[in-house]
Amino acid sequence: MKIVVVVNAVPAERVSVTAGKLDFGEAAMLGPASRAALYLALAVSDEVTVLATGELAAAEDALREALAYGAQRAILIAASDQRGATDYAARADAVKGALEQVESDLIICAAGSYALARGSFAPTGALLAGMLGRAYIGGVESLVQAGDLEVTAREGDELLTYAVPAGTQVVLGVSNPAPAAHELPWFGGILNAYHGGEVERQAVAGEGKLTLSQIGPAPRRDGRELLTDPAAESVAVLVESLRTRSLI
Amino acid sequence: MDDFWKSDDWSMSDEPNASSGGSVLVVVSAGQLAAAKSLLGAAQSIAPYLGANVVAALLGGDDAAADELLKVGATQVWLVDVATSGLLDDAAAALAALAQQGSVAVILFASGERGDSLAGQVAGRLGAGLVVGAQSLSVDYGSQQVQAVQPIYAGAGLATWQANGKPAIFTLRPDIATPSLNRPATGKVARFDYAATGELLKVVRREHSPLQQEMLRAKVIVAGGYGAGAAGFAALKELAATLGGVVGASKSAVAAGWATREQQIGMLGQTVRPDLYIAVGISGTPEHLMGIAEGATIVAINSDPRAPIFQLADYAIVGDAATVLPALTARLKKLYASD
Repeated sequence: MKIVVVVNAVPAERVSVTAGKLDFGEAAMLGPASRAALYLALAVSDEVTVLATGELAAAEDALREALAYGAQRAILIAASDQRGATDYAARADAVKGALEQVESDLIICAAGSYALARGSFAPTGALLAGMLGRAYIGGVESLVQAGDLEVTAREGDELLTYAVPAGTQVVLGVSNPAPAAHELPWFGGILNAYHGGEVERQAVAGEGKLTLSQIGPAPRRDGRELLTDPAAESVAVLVESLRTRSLI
Repeated sequence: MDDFWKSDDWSMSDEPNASSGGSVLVVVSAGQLAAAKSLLGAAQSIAPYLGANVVAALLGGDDAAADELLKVGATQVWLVDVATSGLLDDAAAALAALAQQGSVAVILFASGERGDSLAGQVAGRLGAGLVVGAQSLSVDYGSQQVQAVQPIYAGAGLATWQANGKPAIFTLRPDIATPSLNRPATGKVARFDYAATGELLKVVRREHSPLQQEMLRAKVIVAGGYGAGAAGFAALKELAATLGGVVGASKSAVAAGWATREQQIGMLGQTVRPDLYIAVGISGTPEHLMGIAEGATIVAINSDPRAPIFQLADYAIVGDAATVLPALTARLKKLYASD
């Protein structure tokens, strides 16, 4: 089974806004949900290609990390310049274009994202499924090849297992990083990634339906108080304030 | 397509009172009235500038639920009878067809894993632009296009996006607006009959597997990091117990063996949504901060005044956990004893 895993490269350090543009720092890594998506793919196939869009200068590092985990092929897709912000529809469109060059039986997308607010989810897989007219299963936590491919996904307090017959066109979304939380690249994979592995580059322009008007730093939160007095006094101010706001 | 879709003989654009700007379509699921109110409030804030009606699509709901939406500002409600659990493909197909049937300028969903996914599937089917997790909407006077402000990179910045073309799709963070109307239900309710294709993929097994509900539902979380130290964890357990909260931990603290994997908060652990989050000895790496959903009041206690978490905190106490925690716990016990 040929699997394409669409991964996110995430900055290793805290992102800042400099002159209306996002500054990601020097280093990037494979996002936790991306690592989980890759891990699930490698558990059922040895024909895994990873795709990333190039929002980060160091996205290639993340793809090399994916090669170190055991992916056979890595492709970096040039992204349209939105000063670092992510237009997910344009991104999914670019991935769709790249998929025309890559044979795949199954597409798995990482749904966790550093690029959004805390608690939001990257909709790349869902967008791609909509664009391709494929079924979409989100919240995927495990894959088992048992005749049909069995896909187990979380829905609230339930785990639902779907049977996906061979030849069924489906896109999977992975948001839970747990499956790969403690996995490390294997030594041979690391050597392959840095000596034999190549990151291919493709220039596929995704069609965007959004224009980025502005990027600015987030305003400081109202009511922020820096308490530097001795502990007892700081604690007294804190408790009174939390009580006033009915938080305790 | 007509063979699959049957609706009443009225459509959004054919309504006598329909405005020239089409509709702002609010998508809500049955049983999510609170989210619906917030979405309808946001829709009402932009609809007049677009010359649009506010229309709701209610997934899996009934007439009584539709009446509730009419009372808080929807001028029309479509009852869309599709499964709202399991795969959302039928819901996405139905909503895309509904949007194509009328003149829809904007579609709004509640942000969250299911809302973002459903919005993505609909946007993909319609070839529409999509902004997820927006915190506010407005209309640009010149272009008459909708603009959305989206928090990005765990609060590092705000991106302002402008939609090019229609429909534009947005998922909105909770409680960003309240409806301005509370009126008798005077609008129309109709069914949007959708001949579901049936799930292409069959569920072969269904297993009850509750999440770590204690952590996910906690209103107060006291979390410790490496800076709290082993002794600090004993103190923050007492603080959590005093506040009726639970104990969480950073990745470093879990790696040090001071807390369990189930207590880990962050992208590698759990995403929590408390009202009050007390971070003790946690520096504030992006990985950890992504696990605290927007909306929590954050108290940071750290001996390093340059700790990144102070940039995000509502209250920042520069001090050693071993000194601050006992003082805080004692103060709270005294307070509760006197109440």
